[in-house]
Amino acid sequence: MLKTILRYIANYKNYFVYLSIAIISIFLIKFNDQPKLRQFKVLGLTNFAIINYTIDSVIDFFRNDSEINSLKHQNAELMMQVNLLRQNGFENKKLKELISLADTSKFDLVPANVVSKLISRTQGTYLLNKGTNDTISVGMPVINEKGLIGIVTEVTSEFSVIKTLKNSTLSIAITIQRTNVDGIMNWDGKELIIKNIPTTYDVVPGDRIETSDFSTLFPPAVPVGLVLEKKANALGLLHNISVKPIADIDGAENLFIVRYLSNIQAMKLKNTLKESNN
Amino acid sequence: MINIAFLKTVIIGFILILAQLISVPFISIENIVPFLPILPLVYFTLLNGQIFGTISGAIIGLLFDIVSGGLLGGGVLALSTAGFITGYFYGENKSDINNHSFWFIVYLFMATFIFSFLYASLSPNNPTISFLSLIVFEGLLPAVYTSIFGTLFYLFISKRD
Repeated sequence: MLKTILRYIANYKNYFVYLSIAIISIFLIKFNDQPKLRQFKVLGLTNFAIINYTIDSVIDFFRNDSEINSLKHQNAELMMQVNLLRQNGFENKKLKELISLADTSKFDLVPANVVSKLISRTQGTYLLNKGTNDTISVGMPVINEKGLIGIVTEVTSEFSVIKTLKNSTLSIAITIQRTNVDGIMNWDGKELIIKNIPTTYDVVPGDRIETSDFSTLFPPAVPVGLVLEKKANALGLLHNISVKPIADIDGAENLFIVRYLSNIQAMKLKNTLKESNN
Repeated sequence: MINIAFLKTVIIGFILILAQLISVPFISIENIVPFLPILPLVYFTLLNGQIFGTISGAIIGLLFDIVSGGLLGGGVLALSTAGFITGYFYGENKSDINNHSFWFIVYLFMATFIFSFLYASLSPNNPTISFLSLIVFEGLLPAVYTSIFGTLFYLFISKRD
């Protein structure tokens, strides 16, 4: 009996090897978000990121761009401030009265470089050279000097993984700045798209799009993109709006992580602190 | 002998993974990139057989998952499947025909298509992305792009020999 089984296995060992690997990988995929597996992933990522970073540093050694980086930092800060002012201008014009806004024009930006990029049509994921040592945490937005790039999804002590706007699993609450039309934008594998906007809403190509006040992930008024075109859906009652990102996402190299915690992250932190106090 | 070939495949694969993540994004066209680590996998699988392809595919896939910060297990399954299927074309007397002829490009195209399509399908996706779009943009186009690099690799190997 045993001999027959062994002979059977020997005859079909190719299939047994493949089947075993397939089963292991399906388990890995299934339990990808388990804390122990996450820890393993973070450990591996940290070690390999050091290799990536070393290679990247060697390449960087041949180009002195400290001045460019500092100007980019300044540009990013100014971009955030200008956009807030622009938004305030729109609100002032509409309400015809002064609105006292909380001073949110100061953003704490942490400069970071892209160490590696995992690019596909639907899975934009970058590795940055800043981590918990620089008080970076999951959920912080990432921008460049022009606008929004993505969000931090994994952090190690020295590195962080971000999902870019060109990741189909990232959905962003946005506002069309001129008319305050709200919507949800995501990447459909070909373009950034805002679905199901009523045709009666005033949206024209060229309108600026920014993160919404209602966003639970991003601070309000971060520039995201420009309206490219409106496409009526089958019924003709609703529009899908395609958006051109303001920031060059594919060419992104020098980025800034905004030390900003969304409402959800802040609540989580609050609860953790409460639990630790009790 | 197999062990040396196995080490060679994994080491070359790892170097190409680093190249894939650091420099290949610069040559992406509309977010379509060639997948270089599959080149040594296909080449050595055609020389060493199906089990070799399956195991080395799994190891290169695991390294890719860890280094890229992507879905852990996705690369393992996709690359081991690509190696397993490429292994069907292995033959002890066919290595010359396989690796030194037009057929190498065909096998490379097929393996990359299987890898890219599986990897994209396994990753968490927006439900609005259509199956056809996955096949064309995530499977066929990266396979075409990788085949172009495969042609250069093939010309290099042919000249060397």
